[in-house]
Amino acid sequence: MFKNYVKIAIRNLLRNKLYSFLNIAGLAIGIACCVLILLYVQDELSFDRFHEKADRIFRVNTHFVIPERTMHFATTAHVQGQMFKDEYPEVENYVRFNQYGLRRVIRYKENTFYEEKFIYADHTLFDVFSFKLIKGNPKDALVKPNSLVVTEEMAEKYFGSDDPLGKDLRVNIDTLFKVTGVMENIPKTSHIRPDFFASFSSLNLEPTGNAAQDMLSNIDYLTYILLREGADYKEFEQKLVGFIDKYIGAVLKGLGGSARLEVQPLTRIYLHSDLDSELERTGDISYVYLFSGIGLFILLLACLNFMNLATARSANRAKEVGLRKVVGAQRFQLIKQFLGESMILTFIALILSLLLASLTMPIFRNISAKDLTMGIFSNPVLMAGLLALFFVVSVIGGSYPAFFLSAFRPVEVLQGKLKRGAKSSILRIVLVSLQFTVSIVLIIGTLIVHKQLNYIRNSKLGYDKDHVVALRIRNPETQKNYEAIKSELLRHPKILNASASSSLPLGQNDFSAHHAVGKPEDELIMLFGQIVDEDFIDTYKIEMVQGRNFSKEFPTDPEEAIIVNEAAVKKLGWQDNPLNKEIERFTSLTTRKKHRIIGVVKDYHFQSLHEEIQPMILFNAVMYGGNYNRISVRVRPENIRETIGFIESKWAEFDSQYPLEYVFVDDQFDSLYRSEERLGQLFGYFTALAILIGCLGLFGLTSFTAEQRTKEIGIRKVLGASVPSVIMLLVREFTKWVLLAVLIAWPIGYFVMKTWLQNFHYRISLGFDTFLLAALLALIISIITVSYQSIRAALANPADSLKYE
Amino acid sequence: MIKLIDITKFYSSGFVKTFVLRDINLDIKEGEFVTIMGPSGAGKSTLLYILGMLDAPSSGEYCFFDKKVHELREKQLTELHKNYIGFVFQSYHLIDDLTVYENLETPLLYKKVKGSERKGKVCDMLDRFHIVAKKDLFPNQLSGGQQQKVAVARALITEPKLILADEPTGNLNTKEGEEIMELFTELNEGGTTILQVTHSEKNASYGRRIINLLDGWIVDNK
Repeated sequence: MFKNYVKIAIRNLLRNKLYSFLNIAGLAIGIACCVLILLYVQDELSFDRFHEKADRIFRVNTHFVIPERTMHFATTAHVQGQMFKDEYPEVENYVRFNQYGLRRVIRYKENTFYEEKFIYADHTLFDVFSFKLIKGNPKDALVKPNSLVVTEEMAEKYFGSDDPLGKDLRVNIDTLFKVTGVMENIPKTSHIRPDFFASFSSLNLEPTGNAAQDMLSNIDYLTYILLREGADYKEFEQKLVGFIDKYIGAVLKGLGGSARLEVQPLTRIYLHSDLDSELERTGDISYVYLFSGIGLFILLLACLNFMNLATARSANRAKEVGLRKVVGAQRFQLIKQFLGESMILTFIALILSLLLASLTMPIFRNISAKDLTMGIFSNPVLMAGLLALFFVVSVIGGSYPAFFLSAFRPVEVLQGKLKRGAKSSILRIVLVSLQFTVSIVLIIGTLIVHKQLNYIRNSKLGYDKDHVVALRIRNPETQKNYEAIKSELLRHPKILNASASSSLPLGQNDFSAHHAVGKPEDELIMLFGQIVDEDFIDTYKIEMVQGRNFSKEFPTDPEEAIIVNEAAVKKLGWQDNPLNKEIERFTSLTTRKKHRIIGVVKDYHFQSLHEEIQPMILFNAVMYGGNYNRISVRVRPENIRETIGFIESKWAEFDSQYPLEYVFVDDQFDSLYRSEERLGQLFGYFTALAILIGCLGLFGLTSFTAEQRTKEIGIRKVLGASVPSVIMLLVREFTKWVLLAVLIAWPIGYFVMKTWLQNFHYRISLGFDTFLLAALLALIISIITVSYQSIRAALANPADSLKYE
Repeated sequence: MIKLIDITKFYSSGFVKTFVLRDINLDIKEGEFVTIMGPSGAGKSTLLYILGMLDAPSSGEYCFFDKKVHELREKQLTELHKNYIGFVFQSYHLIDDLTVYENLETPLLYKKVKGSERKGKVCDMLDRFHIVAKKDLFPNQLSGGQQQKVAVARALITEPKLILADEPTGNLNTKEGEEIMELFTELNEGGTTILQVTHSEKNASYGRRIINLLDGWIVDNK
C-alpha cells in the first residue's frame, strides 16, 4: 500500500511538472529562509550561556536621574564590588572590568600593533566566568600588578612559536606587562570578548575612605557579581535601594536627583541591554522578534501557496477520489494518501532548501554580520526545527486535499454534479489576498526604510561631512604641537583647511552642568561641550548666525569666549540678544568659571538623527579635561589617496610613537545608521522573496483558472469576444483580490512603519504616495504574472477546447 | 438478494422538490441479469447509484442480503460495497495516473489483499481479458473498447456478487459493445448478478428481465 502511495505521488509530481515546480520552489525558498533565520536566532539567543555559572552571574548597572536627564550606565564605581561582597552575604564573588576599547599600541620586539581589545580585570575572573587558561595558573595569573593574560590568537600574533609565559609586552610608550597566562580564544557568543586581560591591581586603586565621594566620582567600572546558589537577584536588587540611600542618598537629594542600581542577569545582557559603556555593541531582542516574524511570514506564504495550488487542482483530483471510493477506498485511506503526497513534496523541498540555504549562506553571513554554519548534524536544535517544519508544512499544505477532498461523495463527482473548483473559491480568495497582504506590507516597509535612510543621508546636517579626513592624536606631547602640524599640512595645495578639536562633530562630547548668569542661583543647565580652535567652524562649514568666530586677534578668547548653538539660546530664552551674556561652568561642586557668549552657530547634528539637537557650547582652549585629540583636515575631492599619502609622510615627523590613524568623517556618519541600513537591506531581500513566492502561487493559480475556463473562453470566442477582452476577463479576476489585499495591507503597513519611525527624531512623514506606490507595484507584478497564462488561454483555438469537452 | 421498498429520491432547490425516483419497489434475486431502461432523466442512473450504495435514497428501505442498507453507517457501507459490488461506467472512469496493471490492483489494495495473491489475481484478469500486453500503458493510451475492458476487469477482480453497469457500451462502437455484452453474459452464466442501464434494445436483449422507468416511476417490470 505504502509503495503504491509513493508511486502515485511521484507520478503525480512528474505528470504535473508546473504544479510540482511551483510548489516545491515556493516551499524550498520558504524553508531555506526559515533555516537561515533559525540559525541567526539560535546564535543570538546563545550568548553568554557557555559559562558554567551563567545563571548566577549578574551585572550591576547604575541609572541616574538628574534634573531633565536620565543616564544609564552599565557600570558602577570601583569600590562597589567589595562593598557588595562585604555587606550582602548572598554575594559570593565579584569581577570588575575597566578601560575597554581604548586604543593602545602594544609591542613585542618588532611586532607593533594597535589594539583596542585590552581590559583590566580582577583576578577573580576565572572564579566567576568559565574562561579557560591553556597556560598559566588561573589562581594567580591576574593577582600581581602588571600581569597580563592574552588569548591564544594574540599569543600567536605577538610571540609566534615562542612561549609567551614570562615575556614582557610594552603597552603604549612605557608600561611593561608580564604575560602570566594564555587563554583559549573566547567564543563569538560572549559579550565579554577582550584579547588582553590586565590585572586590575595594575590600576592601583584604593578606596579614599569617603564612600560617597568614591561612588560618585568615577562610575566607570563594569562590576559582575556572582550570587550564591539559591539567591534571588530581584530580592538583592531591592536591598540595593537601601544601599544607595545609605551612602549617596543625601548628596543626590541635594542635587535634585536620584539613582538606582539594577541587577541584570548575564544572559540578558546581550539582547536586552543597551546602556552607556557596554563592552561590545549589543544585539537587540526586537531584531530577533522581527527576524522570527519574517521567517514565519515567509513560511506561511509558502504554505498558503501549497494549499492554494492544491485547492485549484482539487477539481482534477476529485474524480480520482470518487473512483477510489467506488473501488473500495475508505476516507482515512485517502487522507493518508494525500498527506503522504504532501510529505513527499515537502521532503523534496526540504532537501532543496538545505542546498539553497548553504548556497546563500555567504550572503546571509554578510548581512547578519554573523559567523554562522549549517552543520545540521551537529545542531540538534536545527534538526528538531527541521523535523517540526517538515511535519507542520506537510500537514498544513496537505490538509486541504486530505480533509476536504477525501470527503467528496463519488456520486457527485462521477455524475458531474460538483461544479469544478467552485467550492474552494472563497478559500482561494482569502489565501491569495492574505499572500498579497503580506507582500504589500513588506513593500511598504522596504520603501519607507529606504526613504528614511535617504532622508538621513541627504538631510542638512548643518556641517559639511564630505572630504574631511580626521586624524587622531594620542600622544599628549604631539597634541601640544597642533599649531605646527596644522600649518605644515596646509602647505599642501590639496589641503584646504585644518582644525584641531577635542572631538569630531559626531563624537563623544563633554556633558556638564552650567549656570546662566542672571537666572536663579539654583537653576542648572546641562550642556554638551566641545573644545575647538578658531578654524573649526570654517573647516566644517558651520554657519554663524550671530556674533563672531573665535579669533587670534582677541587674546582673551581662549580664557573666556564661548560660542553656543541655537538650541542653547532657545533653551536659555535668550533669543533677543544672546551676545555677551554670561554662562558659568562648574569646575567642582562649589567653584565656577565665567564665560561670555561671542557668537551663535546654526544648529548642527552632533548626534545621530535619532536624537533632537541638544544645547551645545564650544570652548576655545584646552580645559575641563578636554584635549586637542583630533585634527580635521578638509581636502580637495580629487586624488584623496595622494593627499593622504602626504599626510602620512608628514605624520612621522611629528610623532614617532604612534602610527597615523585617520577616519573619513562621512564614513563615521554612515556607521551611525548601519543597523538601519542592514534593516533596509533585509527588508529588501525578504520582500523580494515574499513577492517571488506569491508570484509562483499566482502563476500556478492562473494556469489552473485558465485551464478550468477553457470551455468558457472557447464559447466566448465563438460568440465573438476579442483576444484583449478575454485577457481582461482573466486579469480582472485576480486584480480584485490584489485590491482587497491592498485595503488590508495599508493600515497594517501604516501602523508598523509609524512605530518604526518613532525611533528617529528627524523623520519623513508617511505620505500617501508611498502606499500608492506599494499598491501599484503589487498590482503591476501580479498583472505581469497573470498575463502569460491569460494571453495563452485567450489565443487558444476555440475549436480545440470545445471539441475536448 | 436485493429488496427495495418504497424508495424515493428527490432534490430540493429552494421551495421546489424535484423527484427523481418515486416509490420504487423492486426485488432482484441472485444470478439475475436485469436491464433498466428509460428515457434520459427517468432516474436510471440514480437508481443504479443507490443500489451501489454510492447515493442514499431520500426515503424508503433497501435490503442487501440480510443487511438493512439504509441503517448502515458510512464505514459499513464501504465495507459492504467493496466486497460485494463491482461498478462499470459509460465513460470507463479509470484512474488516469495509474497504469492498467495498477488500476486493476487498486481495489485489491483497499481490500488489503497480500502482495503475492494480488499479483496472481491481476495477472489472471489480464490473461482473461487478453490485455497482458497493455498492462504498463496508461488509460489514455488505450482505445475506448480496451479501456472499458479494463474497467470491467477492475470491477470483477474482487469477485463481486453484483455488477452494476451504467451504459457500459455507450461510448463504444458496435463490435466493442458486443464483446462487452458477451462478457457480461458469460459472467452471468458463472453466477454473477448483473444490473445494467442502457438505451439500447439490443443490449437489453442480453438480459432476462427489463425494468422500464419513466419520470421516476417503474412503469414496466417484466
